[in-house]
Amino acid sequence: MKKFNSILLVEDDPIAIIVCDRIIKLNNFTDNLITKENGKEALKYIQSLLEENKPLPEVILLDINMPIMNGWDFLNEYETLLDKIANPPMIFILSSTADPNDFSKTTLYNFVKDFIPKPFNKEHLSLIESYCED
Amino acid sequence: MNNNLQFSYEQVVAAFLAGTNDAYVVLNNQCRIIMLNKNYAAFHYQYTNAQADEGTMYIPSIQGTFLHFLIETIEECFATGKLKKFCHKIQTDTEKYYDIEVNPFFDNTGKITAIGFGFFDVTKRYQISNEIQKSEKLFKALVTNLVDAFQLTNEELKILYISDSVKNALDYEPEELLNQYFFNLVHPDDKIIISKWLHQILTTSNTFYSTELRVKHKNNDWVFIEIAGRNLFHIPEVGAIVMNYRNIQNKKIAEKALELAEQRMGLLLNNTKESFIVVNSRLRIVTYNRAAQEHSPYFFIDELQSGVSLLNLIKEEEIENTINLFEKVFDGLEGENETTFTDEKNVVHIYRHSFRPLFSDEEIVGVFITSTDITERKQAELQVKISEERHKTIIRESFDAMIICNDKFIITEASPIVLKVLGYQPEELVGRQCLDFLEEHNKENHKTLISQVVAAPDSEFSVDTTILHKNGHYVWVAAKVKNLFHNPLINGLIFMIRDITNRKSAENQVLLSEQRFKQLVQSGADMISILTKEGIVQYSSPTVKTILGNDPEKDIGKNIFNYVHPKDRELILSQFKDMIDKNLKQTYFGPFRFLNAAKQYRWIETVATNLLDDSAIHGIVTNSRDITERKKLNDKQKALTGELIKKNEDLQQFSFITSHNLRAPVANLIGLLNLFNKQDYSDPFNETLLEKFEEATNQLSNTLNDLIEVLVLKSNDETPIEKIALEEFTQKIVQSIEKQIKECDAAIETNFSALETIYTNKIYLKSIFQNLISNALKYRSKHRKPVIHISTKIEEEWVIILFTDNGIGIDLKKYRDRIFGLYQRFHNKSEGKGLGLYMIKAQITTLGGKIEVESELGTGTTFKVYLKYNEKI
Repeated sequence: MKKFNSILLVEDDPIAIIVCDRIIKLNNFTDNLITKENGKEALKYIQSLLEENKPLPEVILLDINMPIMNGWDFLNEYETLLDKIANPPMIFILSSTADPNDFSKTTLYNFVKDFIPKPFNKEHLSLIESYCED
Repeated sequence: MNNNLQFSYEQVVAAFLAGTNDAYVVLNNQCRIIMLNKNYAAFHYQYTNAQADEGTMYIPSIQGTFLHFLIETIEECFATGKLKKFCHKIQTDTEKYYDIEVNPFFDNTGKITAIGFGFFDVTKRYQISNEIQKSEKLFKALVTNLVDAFQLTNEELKILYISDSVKNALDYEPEELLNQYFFNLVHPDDKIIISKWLHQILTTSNTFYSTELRVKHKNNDWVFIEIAGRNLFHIPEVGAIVMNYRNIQNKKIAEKALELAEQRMGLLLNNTKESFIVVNSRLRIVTYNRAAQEHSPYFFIDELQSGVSLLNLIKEEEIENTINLFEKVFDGLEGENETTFTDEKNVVHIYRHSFRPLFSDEEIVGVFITSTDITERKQAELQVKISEERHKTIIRESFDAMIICNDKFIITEASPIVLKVLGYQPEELVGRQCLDFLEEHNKENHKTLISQVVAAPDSEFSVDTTILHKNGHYVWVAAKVKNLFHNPLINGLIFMIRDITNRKSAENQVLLSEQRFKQLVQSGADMISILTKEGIVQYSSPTVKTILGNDPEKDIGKNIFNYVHPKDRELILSQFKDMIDKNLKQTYFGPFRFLNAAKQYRWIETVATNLLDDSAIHGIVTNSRDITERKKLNDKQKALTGELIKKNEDLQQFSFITSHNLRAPVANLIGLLNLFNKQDYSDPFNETLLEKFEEATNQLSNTLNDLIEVLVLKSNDETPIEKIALEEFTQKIVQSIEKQIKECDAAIETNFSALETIYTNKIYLKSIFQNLISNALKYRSKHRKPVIHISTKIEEEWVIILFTDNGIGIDLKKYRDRIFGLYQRFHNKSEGKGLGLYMIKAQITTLGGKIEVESELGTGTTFKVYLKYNEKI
């Protein structure tokens, strides 16, 4: 299994965090899983990394339904930072949404790699890895 | 720079360089940069593609760019030791223009140590001045290349401006004539002409007057010019007389020869009765004979004079045709026309004029006009026509049957034509009572009329009536009865009778179709009007009365557009105008509002048909229908459909959200289950998972409870209304959440003075109050004691309950659209589920109201609950 240096999980549901964390750890996917509980926190984190010239996480797993700043708001803000980012992370939406608009919205952001329906499982790791090989 | 200053010289320069918006660089004698600002670095990079920095040195061999100029300036400056501040313009390949300002820097001994260059973008200024130059050039080129000289003078003919083309006309340089008096150039004999001409110009503005006169050429010859002038003192940009003139000397010489030849012919010509007039190629009269002088008042409107343009002598409406005629003649053909003129005594004079070209050396130099009085011939022709007409009338008259009666209405004589008209032989009629031939219902009336004629000698009357034909049918006749008892030859009443069956049946048909038309118009459901092309009503059908209450008679003469609603008028007017301008046959005027007699606007739909060209109508026929009821119904339906769509969208959104919220905990459960180590139950992580199972299950249960609450609200359509005293009601709610209020040390203030009691659903209102108060407490500010102010207000048909807090506020720019959405949370601060505002919005909507929010971050939020104002149930 390919090992990533760091992965950012943007998620407010504590159980969903546990599920993700456990799967990633069991499969040795990364040693460094960072969790931020909404879009705003995640954005702050990315900005601080950029300012300190530190490498960004290679993968971002992004929930949609979050308080304060939801997934879409995060993507809109993140988009404005894109030209400052040398190696942009692969972003995956991670949601249990049922709204077809949400699926189509995903395609509006060309830097979003794919949509992962919850719950997160082992197969999703292979999906993420497959994008890595491209 | 002054050494007494607090700052050093370098500091001041550095500050200046940093502060200015212009590009600035300072170079020393080796062309090395000793100082520069950011703007210069950018400027330098843009035009040389190279970086500039302190210490950069320019190579003297550089060519072509602005650097070349810098280096040259520096070399020159250090060689000569002095340099004045000056500006230089550079053009770069991007079509930009810069002014370069050069400033030398001196040391204490007055020696130049460095040179500063400032670059100022003047592209815009340069482009504008370029444009101006271009248009001026164009104008100049136009004026210079004219054959005509062109000048402006004041009222004393002092030349204020003169075009270069004066060289073409009179060989003068413009400067020679500028500020001279044009009058001085004119031949002494022609000074009278120019004075008269000037007088004409000065007394009328804006009209061109032209004349011919002699002026002094540069070579001292007198030459003829044709000059036209126009008074433009009223135009501020000109404020002068504008005149243009051209040298016509060559033509004049030719004309002189022509004149001599004419003089020789004059003797002969003056003795004929025909008028002869000779005009030159510019249609000015050269000569004419005595007959022309005598007759010309009958075909010219002004006095015949040499030198006058023929066009000034003829009626305005003849000018165009005359010019066409002359064009033909100058092409070598002959032409002819006729003029008719009525003098003060109402005598008509008709002249025929023939136009023949006058050749000199195979060139046409003028036109020879011969005019002949043809009035008599014309009148003779007219006489023939009249007598012909008379003859025809006589023949037609003979179709009349003639019957003579005595004072007892007994027929004494009948002409043979009665056979044709009535089928009787004349003798069959003699001795019969003429009233017997009339239809029963006409008898009384006609007898009276005829008796009146009998009573008054020479009197007569005409009537269209029916008379019994021999074949037993009544025929339509036009009858004229005349009292000729005083005429011994007749001594009776004379009846002239003409068969008008054909005319009558045609008339009848017209009448019938008119009746049919009227029937349609008057009894139809539509309102029919005839409008002029200005929109003035000429006819309105009686239906206008039934539909709009307007009296159709009174509408006539009014402008229909005055009744159209001001908001619709512009559109309707423009459509109407379009219809007329583009001659559209038919136009539909969409629903518009129209004022009825009761001063209410009704929705009207109109189809207008353009019958302006129709000789019978000569107007726009409008076919209008009141669609107010239909429109109301349509609008209602539209509103209903809109509401349904909205409700459907809400429901869809609701189903997406609820399914998400059900899926989230289920997904958690599946996720946890996948992690459960079934091989080894003693795995310590299984313990954690079990705890989380419980949590996830509770999450699911809570979500279901929430959804049930919303669903119950959504399906509940029974909302009993009751009277609620707001003060008492509020206090009860405050008591129920007293603990929460005390914990926050909050104050609840109320002011229901505007409205103390309302009629609404108590359960919903309770939920609204509870939610809004607890929201205000939840989102209180840390920095101040929370105060919630609840008050009422009446606005039109609404009762507004205002909940104002001094909490942390909401960023409405970001969240306005979502604030009342399901499961929307905007603060992380509290345990909000994102249900409260969604619930109360649904409740308020059920009550037929609405909710609005105003907020300022850090200051507070006001929720406005709008409820229908019912004074009583």
